[in-house]
Amino acid sequence: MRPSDSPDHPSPARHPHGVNPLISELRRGVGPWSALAIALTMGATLVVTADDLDGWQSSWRSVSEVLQPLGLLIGGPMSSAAGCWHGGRERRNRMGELRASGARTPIRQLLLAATPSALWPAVGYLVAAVGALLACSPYAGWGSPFFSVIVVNACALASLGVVGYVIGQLVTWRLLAPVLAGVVFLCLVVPAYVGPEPHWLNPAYQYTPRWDAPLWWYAPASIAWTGGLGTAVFLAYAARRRAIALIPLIVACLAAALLTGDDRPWRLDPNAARLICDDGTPQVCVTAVDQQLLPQVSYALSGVNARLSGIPHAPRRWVDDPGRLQAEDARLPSPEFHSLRGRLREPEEYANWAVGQLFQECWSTHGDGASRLRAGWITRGLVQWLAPSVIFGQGAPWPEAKGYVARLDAKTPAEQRSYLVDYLASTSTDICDPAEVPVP
Amino acid sequence: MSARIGAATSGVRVAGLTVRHRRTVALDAVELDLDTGVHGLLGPNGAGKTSLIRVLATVAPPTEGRIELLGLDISAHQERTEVRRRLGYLPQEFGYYPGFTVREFVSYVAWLKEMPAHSVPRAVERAVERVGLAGRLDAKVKTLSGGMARRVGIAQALVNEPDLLLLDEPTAGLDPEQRVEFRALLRELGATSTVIVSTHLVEDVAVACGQVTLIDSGRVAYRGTTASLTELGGTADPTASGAGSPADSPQTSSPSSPIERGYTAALRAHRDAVTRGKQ
Repeated sequence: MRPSDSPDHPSPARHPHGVNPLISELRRGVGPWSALAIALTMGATLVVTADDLDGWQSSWRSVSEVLQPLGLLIGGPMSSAAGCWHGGRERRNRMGELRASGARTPIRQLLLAATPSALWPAVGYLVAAVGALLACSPYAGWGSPFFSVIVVNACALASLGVVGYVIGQLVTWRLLAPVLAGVVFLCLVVPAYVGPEPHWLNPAYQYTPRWDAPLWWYAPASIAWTGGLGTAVFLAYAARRRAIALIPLIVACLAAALLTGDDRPWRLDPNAARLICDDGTPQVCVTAVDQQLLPQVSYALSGVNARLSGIPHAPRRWVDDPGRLQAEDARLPSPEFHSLRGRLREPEEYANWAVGQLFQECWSTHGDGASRLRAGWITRGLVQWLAPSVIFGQGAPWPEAKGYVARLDAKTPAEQRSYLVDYLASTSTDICDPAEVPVP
Repeated sequence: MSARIGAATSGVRVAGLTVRHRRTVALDAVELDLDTGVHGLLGPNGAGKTSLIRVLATVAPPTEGRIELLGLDISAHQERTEVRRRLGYLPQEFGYYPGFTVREFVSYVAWLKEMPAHSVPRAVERAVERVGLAGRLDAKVKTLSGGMARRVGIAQALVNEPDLLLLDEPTAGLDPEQRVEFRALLRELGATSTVIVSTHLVEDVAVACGQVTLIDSGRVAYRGTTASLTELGGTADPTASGAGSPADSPQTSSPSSPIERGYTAALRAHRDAVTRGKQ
């Protein structure tokens, strides 16, 4: 037949080794777009939430905590919808006849065809995850990212893509892909936030690993769980002997049993939880995961510490770990939750929060009796005087507390110190007796 | 090893082939014996041509009967796979992945046919050259015209230099000049392969096919050479209006060329015989 009219004649040298069908599958179709959509949507969400109160750039743990639900709740529906759409292409493109006449076994054909559905969503997630890790790296400080968790998430997305592909092959309905996306979203989001925690079988479950680290078997078991289910669905559809799907299904069930067993897959990491202290009085101690914030925390508390130093019943240490507080320790608010990109957001507010926690027993103004009310206002005034907050009294005027602040300000340093001695003596039992709280 | 229908190790041997779609009989005890060469498959709409091609392409199972392709019994899994390696098939509704380039798509089909990877690049280029699309190798299929896409379909069928080539309405969408060239290609392929062309266009059969099989209502109505069918038309009544309806006649309702008249005469003779048999 005559050559078609075209200026672009073939150049055999361009493809000396031909075109690998896997490369063609990966390059064409909805696959690359699904990766792009997942990466961009995740990226946009990360950018938008970067300045949130618990900014994910504060530590490797906070970025891991965000990547898991974000990746699955955004990527999961997209992955399954893209897989579903891709799975329906043979029907849309009327390729069934041609494929059926091929010598390749159906399972090999389907394996090749389903590869983009598995691979591209995982790639999209990994691109976003790598971006998030890079954005976090200048500020993360101690430790390293939980790479195994990222792999677990990518595997879950790949499995959802494969399941979507199989559903797309089986069901003829043009609206199936968006509907499937909605169903997958609900299936991920509802169990993640409903019922007793933790939900280790739900890949979208947001676990906050404050000082925990996954055990070595967490990633293999999670991959076996989600990957086993995806593989079982695929084999049940594509294998000549469908019973072979029981093998990955059994593997998935065993992994599920392991994940939900008595052994928690995340355990306290002593290295992460070890205390790092400054040499001030009182000492400021943060855990290793926040050690890069220690100088700022010490600086934020320096004014309070100067006033508390040497006073009987004043805390010996500020410690960011309620589980390890000793008799003379005060609980320190977690620096991570008050920081953004390696900086304490508002050092004054942080110090105010810390002092508020120190005197929390007498903070309440609710309860019976005038003395309870009076003790509450005195305590609020004392906290404001020790660590002034710019939002003090906003929303509620708190005139009584403001009055006590004014009285404290009016005292001489010796009187102020004397008052602090009296106040701390009155609250030294950790039980607030309003009648004992001295009036400034 | 399963028993052979005949002694030949090439071509198509079909014995008692019956295909039913629910209650409809698409093919009724068809017997066929086709060797190397170009064979035209003619018949009215719904006669069973596509059903026959699909069974021969191993994409649809027969309800009854035995089929031996290239000397292999396709009821056996391994032999069916071997046949598929040596088979070229252009379905009536040719589908393709629109986002693939011509090169990618034909390479993909070569992969489906389990061609050795090292031979694929050259085979793809040769197949695409043979259908006149060399200049469009790296164009996406969705950018091609309908006729060009059909040629891509022919190229994918040729890529493995098939011993058995099944083409269902291959010239649909081709312009007259392309059809002339395609017929020449068919003749070239028929020199070494068994080529079966199902078509409505009697001219294609007249020019390209050495043998013709006419199917009507699932049965073989006529088998013979193209020349003999043409001769049949020469002796038939040129004013005959066909076998009953305009749709029975290829292309026109008023047969004009000798082969068209032959087609109509053969069909009418078959139907008369069937009617007499029933009486």
